[in-house]
This record gives sequence, structure tokens and C-alpha cells, in this order.
Amino acid sequence: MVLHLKSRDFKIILTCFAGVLAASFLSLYLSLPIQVELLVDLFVTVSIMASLYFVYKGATRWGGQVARYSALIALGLTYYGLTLIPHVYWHLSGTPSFLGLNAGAITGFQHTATIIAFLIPAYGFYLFWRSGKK
Amino acid sequence: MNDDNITGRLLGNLEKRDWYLIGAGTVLAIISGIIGQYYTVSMATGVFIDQVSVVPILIGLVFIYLARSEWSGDIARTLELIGIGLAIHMIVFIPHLNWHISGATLTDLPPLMGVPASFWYVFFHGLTLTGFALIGYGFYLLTENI
Repeated sequence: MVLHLKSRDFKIILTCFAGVLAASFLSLYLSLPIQVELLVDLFVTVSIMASLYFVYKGATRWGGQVARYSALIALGLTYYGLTLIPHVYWHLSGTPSFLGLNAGAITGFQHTATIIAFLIPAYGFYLFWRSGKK
Repeated sequence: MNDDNITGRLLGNLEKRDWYLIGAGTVLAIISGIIGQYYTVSMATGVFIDQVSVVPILIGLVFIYLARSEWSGDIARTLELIGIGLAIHMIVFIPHLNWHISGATLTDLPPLMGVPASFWYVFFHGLTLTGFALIGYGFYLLTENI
């Protein structure tokens, strides 16, 4: 399979993996508590917001259809990114009821919405496939 | 290269049928919530639905694989980066989720494969961060001027 990735991309990926391993060993050495997960999740949310910004900036360069597909992908991931931290925090707080909605309602909605949040990008990739321009 | 009617706004390029799909998805999630409100749903069911979310990621990866050979180098490169990012998230998701619910308490988790929890708190979330950062990098490349 021919990849279009450049050597700079591979270096970035390997550096990320090395960084995660180093940070994990540091956490092990310092016996960090579970709250460190929420800190890392904050960066996940920031990454997803950055994606949204880049799609917005890239739209005028690439034109309507690519902008449309990219927006679909980014929107799905954005829902996941925005709800990730509040939802995890809700679980850690013992899943209290909220505005009259019990734990079953919130879980049902959010977990189903997560599936949808990844199906919409899949639709965006599908559109990329069907409309391929070389 | 640019089509007519392009806009720099994020949502301006979405078409009606895209909104119908987003709306349908939202309705499905609401129905799920209503069922959860009035019928007793076990935690195992909630966990199961969560695990199902790797299926749409996998579907997306298949389409990325098919799409990447249909496009020019720049967009194909972005698609591949997004695919790698999503794949990392997908691979980590189920082991990570199962580990979280394996503990007797929610906030103090047991070792995994003999390694204490502090390692895994950063490892799993760090890999997820890598995944979404690579996706962001892929979208970033679409904004770069040649």
C-alpha cells in the first residue's frame, strides 16, 4: 500500500508515541492519581477545537465540496470532544440525575450520540471516496 | 480548483441532506435517552453501547482507505493522517474502557498486566490525545499555503 505520508509525518507520529511513553513512566514514578486523566483530556478537547478551526480556515482554499466533507468530519468529532470531559466527570461523580433526567437517560443519550458522532465523519469519508478527484 | 458558492464559514458548505442525517442521529440519541429514563437499563448495556462506537470508526477507516487513492497527494495525506489518528483512538478505546470499569472504585483503579494504574492513566489518555492531535495536524495541512 502506497502511503502519501511524508517522512516528517512519520517523525511526528513516532515522537508522539515516545512522548506518551515517557509521560506514562513519569506518572508511574510520581504515582499520579486519576485526576491526571482529566488534565490530558483537556488537551484532547483543545486538539479537537483546533481541528474545527483548521477546517474553517481551509474551506476557502479547497472549495465547497472538500470544505463540506471536512466540516462533517470535524463536526462529529467536535460533539465527542465537547461532551467528553463533562460526561467523564459525570460518571466519576456517581452519575447523578440532572434536570429530571436519570442516569439511564443521560447514559442512553450520550453513548448513542457517541456512535452518531463517529458515524457522521464516516459519512464524510464516504463522500470523499465517492467524489474522488485526482 | 474552487467551486462556486464556497464560503469560509464552517457550516455554510453543508447541504440539506447532511442536516437531515445529523437531525436523524440526534433524534436517535434522544429516543435512546427516553428509553433510558423510563426503563431500567443496566450499566452493562451502557458499556455495550459505548463499545459499539468503535464500529462507526472502523467503517470510517474503510472509507478512508478507499478514498485515499481517489485524491491528489495533499488530500490523500490528510486522509491518511486522520485515519491513523482515528485508528489509534479506536484501538485504545475498548481496553481502556474495560479497565476503567474493572476497579472496585471509580477513582482508584487496579494495576493492569502488573503495571500500576498511574502509568495507564497517562498512557491511555495520552494515546487518545495523540490520535486527535494527528487528526488536527491532518486538518492543519489543508490550510497550509503551497
